[in-house]
Amino acid sequence: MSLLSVKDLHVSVDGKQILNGIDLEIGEGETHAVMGPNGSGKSTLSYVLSGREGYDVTQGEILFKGENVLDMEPHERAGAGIYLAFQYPVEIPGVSNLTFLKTAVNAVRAARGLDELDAINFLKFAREKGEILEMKDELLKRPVNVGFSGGEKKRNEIFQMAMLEPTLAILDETDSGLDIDALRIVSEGVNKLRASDRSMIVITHYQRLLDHIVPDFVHVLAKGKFVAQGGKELALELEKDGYAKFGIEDDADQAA
Amino acid sequence: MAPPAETAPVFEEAAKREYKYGFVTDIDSEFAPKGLDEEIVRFISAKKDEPEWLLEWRLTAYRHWLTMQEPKWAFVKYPEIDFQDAYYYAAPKSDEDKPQSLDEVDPKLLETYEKLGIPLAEQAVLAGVAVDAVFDSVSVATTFKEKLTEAGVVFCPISEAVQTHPELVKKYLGTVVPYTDNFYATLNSAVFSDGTFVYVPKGVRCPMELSTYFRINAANTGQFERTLIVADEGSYVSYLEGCTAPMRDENQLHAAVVELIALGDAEIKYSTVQNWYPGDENGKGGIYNFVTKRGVCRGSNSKISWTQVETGSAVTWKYPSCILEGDNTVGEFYSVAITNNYQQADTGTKMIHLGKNTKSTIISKGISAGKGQNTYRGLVKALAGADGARNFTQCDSLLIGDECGAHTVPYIEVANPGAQVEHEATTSKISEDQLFYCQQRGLDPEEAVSLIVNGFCKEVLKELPMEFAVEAQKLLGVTLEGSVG
Amino acid sequence: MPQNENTASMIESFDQVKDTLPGAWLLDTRSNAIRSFEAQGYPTPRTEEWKYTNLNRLAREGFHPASDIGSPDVSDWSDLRVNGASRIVILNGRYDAAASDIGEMPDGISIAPLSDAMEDIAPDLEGQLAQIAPFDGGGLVALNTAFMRDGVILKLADGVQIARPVQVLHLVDAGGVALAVHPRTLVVAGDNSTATIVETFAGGVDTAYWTNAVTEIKVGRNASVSHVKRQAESVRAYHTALTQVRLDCDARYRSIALATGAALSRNETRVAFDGSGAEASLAGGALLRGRQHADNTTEADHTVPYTNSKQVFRNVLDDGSHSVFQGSVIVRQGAQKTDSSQSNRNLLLSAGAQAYSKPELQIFADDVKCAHGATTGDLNKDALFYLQSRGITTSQATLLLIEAFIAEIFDELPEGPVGDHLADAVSAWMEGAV
Repeated sequence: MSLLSVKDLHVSVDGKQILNGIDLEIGEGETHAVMGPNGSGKSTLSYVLSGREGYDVTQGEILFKGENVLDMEPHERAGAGIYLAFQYPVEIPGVSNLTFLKTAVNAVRAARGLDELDAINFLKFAREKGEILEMKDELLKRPVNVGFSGGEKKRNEIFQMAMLEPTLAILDETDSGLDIDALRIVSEGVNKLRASDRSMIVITHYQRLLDHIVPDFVHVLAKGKFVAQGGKELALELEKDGYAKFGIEDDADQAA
Repeated sequence: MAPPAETAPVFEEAAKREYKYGFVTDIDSEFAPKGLDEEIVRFISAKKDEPEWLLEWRLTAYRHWLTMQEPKWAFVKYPEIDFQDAYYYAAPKSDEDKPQSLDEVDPKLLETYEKLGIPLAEQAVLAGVAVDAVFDSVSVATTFKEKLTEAGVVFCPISEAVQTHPELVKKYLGTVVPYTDNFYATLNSAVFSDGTFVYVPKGVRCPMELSTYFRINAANTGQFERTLIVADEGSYVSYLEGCTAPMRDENQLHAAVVELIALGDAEIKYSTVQNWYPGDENGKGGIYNFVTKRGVCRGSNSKISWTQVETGSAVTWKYPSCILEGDNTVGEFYSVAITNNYQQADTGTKMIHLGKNTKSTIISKGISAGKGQNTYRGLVKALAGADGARNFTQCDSLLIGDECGAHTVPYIEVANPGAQVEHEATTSKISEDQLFYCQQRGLDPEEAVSLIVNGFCKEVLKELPMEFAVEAQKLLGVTLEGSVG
Repeated sequence: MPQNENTASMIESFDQVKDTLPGAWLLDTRSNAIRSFEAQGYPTPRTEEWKYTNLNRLAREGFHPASDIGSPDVSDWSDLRVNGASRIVILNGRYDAAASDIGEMPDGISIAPLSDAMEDIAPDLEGQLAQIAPFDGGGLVALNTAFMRDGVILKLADGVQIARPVQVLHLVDAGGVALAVHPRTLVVAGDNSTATIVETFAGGVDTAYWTNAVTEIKVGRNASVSHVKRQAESVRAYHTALTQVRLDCDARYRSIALATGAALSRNETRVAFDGSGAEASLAGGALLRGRQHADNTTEADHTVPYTNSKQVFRNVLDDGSHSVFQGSVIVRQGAQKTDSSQSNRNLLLSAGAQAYSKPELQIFADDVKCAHGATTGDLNKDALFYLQSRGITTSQATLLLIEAFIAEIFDELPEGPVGDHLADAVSAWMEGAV
């Protein structure tokens, strides 16, 4: 059985159809890349999987571990093991990264039937995971994403992923806005988190991220539908020939 | 009234929460007859065995009060108060022979404080907090007397101080908040029944945090406590105040007066966590909290710092202020005020710069939820002599739901070209982005709101002494319970 | 409540003026207005809105709506004319045809002195005049309603653009008479129309007088009205003015009000948003010296969603002068997506000067952006030193910094004769400072 099973998914936002029949099966431990030009519906896919409000499923279903997630609140999905690394991480002034994570870690632990971590064990755990992402202590103490550089924000997203130990991680344009060093740290972090019991959806516009995080499958999204699917070589083709090969203009202006 | 359809479902349900401290203690109370006239004032004074000068002062205040009208300028609405329909004095009966130590305190009272989580008795020892507990209008116990006495610190009910340190009380009482000050302060001057007195001698750093817990227990009772804190030259004291009241359908009046006097190089830090009963989710019952708090930095280089977390009361009308008389004196005001359901708060501060190079900082965080109305009202005044005066004011309002209100009314009056006064204010709501981000990390909507609100208030909460900060954070969460679906 | 015998005599003199304009409906309105004034009297500092401006002296002076005063020569004030503008001169409260120059107006524009308009189109004005600013809005607007004799009516049909600014030049030179004038201006801008109105106030220094103006402005859908006010009254004068604006959907209103004159002035601007997408920008301030007192009071009342307001006020205070800024932003329940900002800065140049600032927000809706800021202080010492280090004298440097400070209120004003008109006011004040 697939970990995630998306069938004939249609999604509209403010009455406008964005996804037009997505089918996606993700098995345990698999890494899938979803590529597509701006406006193809990539972020919509990540939001509808994680349960953001305002994304109306007009048709189709999403099963996660065999359960219908459409009835679940965002925090319930997080508890069940779905994690979204945001394209634009949100600032929460006054709340330190550590406080935020301690609350989050214990919330998902409770949802998964695990005991709360006490302050000492939590700190130990945070330091351990922080090393993977080269997170300085100072970053842990600062308010969530406030005053973080673009690279620090993305590292923080992957750090949180390490802490929350999801079974399905969705990385929404994690490479956007990163210079080459930051990209290396982030993708190394992601690779260290790959595991047989953890699947990933890597959403990206560019192939370069996939040089670092090598996917098992690649899906090409355009106008709300997958127009091509294949192995990692598909990404290379795209890099070489561009989206035009699939009859898609890669133009931000045509964004839906 | 249902919010419009586009409102996020998390905001939808009307606020429903229970007031944790809403129990009534069954104790025989001794009341003065209902209503207010000169006889009642004399009765209260006689009960306290007060000297003639104090009775005269009360009577002068009472006569002045008769000429005054209730202030109407605040953004609060409440039915006309019938000042004749309340008891102006209520004491637990056992006050007749006052307890000499904690062991002698009525166990029911101690139980009450236990429920309140007050660190009286042993808890006090552990927490290192000296507690004066005012129950209805009478001070019932003061812990830690010995240790304080050793340091020369006077910390006792003001009724006791009138007997034991009459010269100090006479010298300072009414010098910061005169009996003519305002309607409620004048009423308090006439009928105050107890409160706390603190005197910290020259050069003494008070060895522990001092603390008073107030509780209104009796029905139809007004509480009029009076607190007077004098920090003599070069001394330091940190004082904490907590307040609760039982759930009752009718409204109860709390009109306290607090006077702080910091002499040269002295520092007073005054923290309040106010959690009077706010009324139910339909706005029935609750405390009218009409309080006058003012401090004067009388000597140079002195400092007064107010920190308040206001989560309770049906109506709050309160402006803890600093008169910066001495040169190089410092005034601070840190405030968090939350209104939920039908609560109304009109609160802020006054910073009056008289001396040279005086500095003041105002950080105010207002949170409105349900149908709550929250007003910051603050005056910053630099007089002609206040060369080099500096003020910085930051007022932020957070709205949760679309039926509440957040208002900012600053008054800035500058009469000295060398003064620099800056005021900034913002109004915002908890963004959908923040809520979703937190939820995606596994927090339920209520946890998410509580976390975001605590972050919003951080600058103020960090000013509270540690043990209070934890309590305050919990209170914020409790107060907002039910404000999200 | 009438405060003194002058209030009473003011009420008595109503009989002399009540019939000076035709129209039975107007007489009704005026009679109600004088009763309203009788009931409330002059505003006092006991009302929160008048906390910082005391009209006691004005109320005691005993200004009177004069019967006819001869027409003095107004050529002394020719430098107050805005070049190229269509001009209406109101002298001592009455239309001065000889000094006015309305010029040719394209079709769809009607512009006339109030006295003429009432003779010609009184029925049309019923339901428009004294409706946007009703007389029950306060003692002063009640008085203006009761005593108005002249002013300007400007109406723009849908889609009409006036290229030339319209200037209304209010002059008072009443010889020895303690005159009170109550000019009334009504601007009705039809949908998609555009107009620029300049109001200029000045007067002779011989006697104290009182100008109590009311300006009503209705801006139609997607129409745009720019409103510039230069208040250069005599330093012995009292000046009180209310501008009340109503904005339909997508309407734009921009005002800049600069005061350099009057012993005491109060400039009140109130904007009500009736339609989504409307925008108001209120700017203004005062350059003051001596014992002048200038009060700018504003209100932006957001009642519908998606409206914007911006307020920028700057005051420069020398000697023993006083400035007041009372800005208020109200966002009513349901007025979601309101975007509003408010900024007040005051520059104190002298030890006797005093600035009072009360930037107020009343917010009853949650999805809004509202911010305000206020600062008061003296000139930036670092900037001053920097300029001095470049060889600029202290007094020149001071003037440069003052000019830069006050210029923030002109930000949105295009270059041209209207801008020059305000720049002249600044220069005139600067000359007095040297």
